[in-house]
Amino acid sequence: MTTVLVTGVGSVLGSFVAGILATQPNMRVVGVGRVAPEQTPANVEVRVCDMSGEALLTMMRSSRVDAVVHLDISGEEAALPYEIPGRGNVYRAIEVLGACHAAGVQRIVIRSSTLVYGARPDAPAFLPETAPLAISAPAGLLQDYIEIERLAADFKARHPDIRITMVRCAPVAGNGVRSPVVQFFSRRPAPVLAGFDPRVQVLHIHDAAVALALATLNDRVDGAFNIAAHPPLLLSQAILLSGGQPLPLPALVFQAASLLAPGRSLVGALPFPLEYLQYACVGDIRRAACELHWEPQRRPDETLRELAAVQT
Amino acid sequence: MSDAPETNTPGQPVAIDGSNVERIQETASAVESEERTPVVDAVPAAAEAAAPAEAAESQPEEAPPAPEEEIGVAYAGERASPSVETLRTETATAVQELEVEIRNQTAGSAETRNLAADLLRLIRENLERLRPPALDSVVTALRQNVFNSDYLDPDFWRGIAMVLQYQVNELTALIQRRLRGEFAVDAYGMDSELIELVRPVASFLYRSWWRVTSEGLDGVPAEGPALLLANHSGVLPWDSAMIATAVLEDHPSQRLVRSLHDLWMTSVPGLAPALAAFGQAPALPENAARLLSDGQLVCAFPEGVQGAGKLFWNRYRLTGFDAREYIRVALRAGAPIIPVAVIGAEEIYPVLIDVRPLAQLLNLPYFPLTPLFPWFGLLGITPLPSKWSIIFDTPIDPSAYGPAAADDPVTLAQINDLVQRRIQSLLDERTAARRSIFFG
Repeated sequence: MTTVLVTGVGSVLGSFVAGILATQPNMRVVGVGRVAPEQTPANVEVRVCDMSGEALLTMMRSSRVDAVVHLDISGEEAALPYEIPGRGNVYRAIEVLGACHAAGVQRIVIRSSTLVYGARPDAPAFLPETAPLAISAPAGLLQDYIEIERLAADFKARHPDIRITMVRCAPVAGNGVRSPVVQFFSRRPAPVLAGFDPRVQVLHIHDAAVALALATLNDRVDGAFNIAAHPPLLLSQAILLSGGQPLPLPALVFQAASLLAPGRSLVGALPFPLEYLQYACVGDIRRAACELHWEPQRRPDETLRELAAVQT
Repeated sequence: MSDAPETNTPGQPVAIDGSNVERIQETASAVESEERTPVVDAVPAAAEAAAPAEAAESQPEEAPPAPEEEIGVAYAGERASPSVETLRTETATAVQELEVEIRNQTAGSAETRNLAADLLRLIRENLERLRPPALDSVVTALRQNVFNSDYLDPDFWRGIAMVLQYQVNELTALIQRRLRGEFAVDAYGMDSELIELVRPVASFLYRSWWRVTSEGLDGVPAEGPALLLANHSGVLPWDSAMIATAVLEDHPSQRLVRSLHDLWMTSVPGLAPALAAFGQAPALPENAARLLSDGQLVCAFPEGVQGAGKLFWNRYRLTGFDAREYIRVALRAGAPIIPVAVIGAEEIYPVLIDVRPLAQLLNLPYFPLTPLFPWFGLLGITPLPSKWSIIFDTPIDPSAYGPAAADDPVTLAQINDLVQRRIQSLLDERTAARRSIFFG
């Protein structure tokens, strides 16, 4: 009997992953979150707590948890709104990692993002998991992911016996979920950088849930995996398919806007730094196909069209 | 209008008939043309000579080339002769009758009929706007060629309108579809639809502009991975476009060459998405490896920026040829390596000076001054029509080097050397045998 703890079970992705894991034989799934899910998946024990390290440790010890899937990332879904940095995602990741170590958990899966590599002109068309990560990003969800990646790498260096897997998901959409990047796609108008049309990746929430479950169930893999739909779309295409309208602006306008009204940009806040409108940041998903036996089931254009149909 | 003499350059006769504006415009177009033919007595000859020669440049029909001094004289002194005026009226009337006839017909769709009639009205209105000497040549040409045949048949015009209508519908449907985001690009951003759209242009450049002769295409495999390594020249990546066109036009497989472009182009607005749409990828060994593992035909230019921006007097001398990383990925993928020599591309933009400070200011790798650029602005980007030949050398078989070769720096350097020597000797041989840059 294996016991898996899924954090962030109040989010749609969290409840999906917990639901998939609960269908496996010899599997006990405990879902923990700051809010309860709208629909509790079958055979999942849901507990609502404040996600403090102490509460998690108590729970892990009393339930004899073997593996932890950390999906409690706020800012990705409406159920978990973004909170102030400092007591948010990074802090929670520290608590989870600390509790895992104290409780002797040997297997940790953490949700991350394919955007952590940063958008650079000299990056290969498909970034392998071994590519260096971006040094920093403006405060926000992306910066949180980069810091969590660093924390996890550091944790792994100090505890080589604990298997820790980073599942780097492309911006997720589907089933009413719209990650900030996908929300940007459906904006009318969506400001883009004139003269550039980088490739972008998206991911259907079902595919994301399957990948996270597969990563948890696999008892050999380690390291990081890029998870995204294939093939990538052009930025303009993604915007048009999501029901948005691209508005090409020269770089000068973006710079002026951020100077004149920092934070509350005139062109609307972007969910990522400006470089992402200029250069592609596309993850190579071949490792996931090879080692996790995961293949995306939904095409990216289908995912975005479905989303646009729900919107109207 | 005539009270604005300051618009005239000194030394030119000032016209007094109030047509200064047209005259200045025509003078401007005449200055660009190099032909100097007397206007008044040789108009048909000039028109005839101009028509085939300028077909490629789509010279406007209304303005046959004429030297600046004579055109002023012609305007100040000459009025259209009565016979030409009558001819103009007759022609215009005939065209108008045809227009009315087509509008009143009931056969076919109203859309097509209106388009045909509008086309004829456009011709008539242009005819009425014409002034000598253009009028002379146009009316003469019309009388000689047009009115003896069935160009006055309404069905002919309806047919033309139908073809046009079809083209317009196709194009608007395409644009509408693309504006809804309904188009497919491959994983690298290649857009097959756009490639099909520009293919006639590439084909024209290949066949007519540079009259490319390609050799050794049978060495290029019809399927599976292969790596082309070519000399780089010509400031803009026309050489890679022509290598791709050679394979597309003259190789039985018609496969698309995926070229690797210099990294700096990734940061140029407009250029980066266009290159991606045409199937190119930034020149990184990782991209080459990925494309080869997908079984693609990849073309790399190991000289990179140093090759593309070399000065005219250094032409056809390979500089900084380092393909070792690309040879490594080709050996790993088991892809044959094919040296390619491109002759003719060095002359399309003869780079006289490379203004480094300006290039640094603009964040470009080079800022070339050629005989045409930047003096003629965008026109200066027109590449010169040199005669090209592209030679695909015999492929180098990767299996001859054994499995460990990819990790052996000495073997990689040897293969690099071999490819460089082969390309260089092809370049030397062919440039020596060539009698003229423009005629081969």
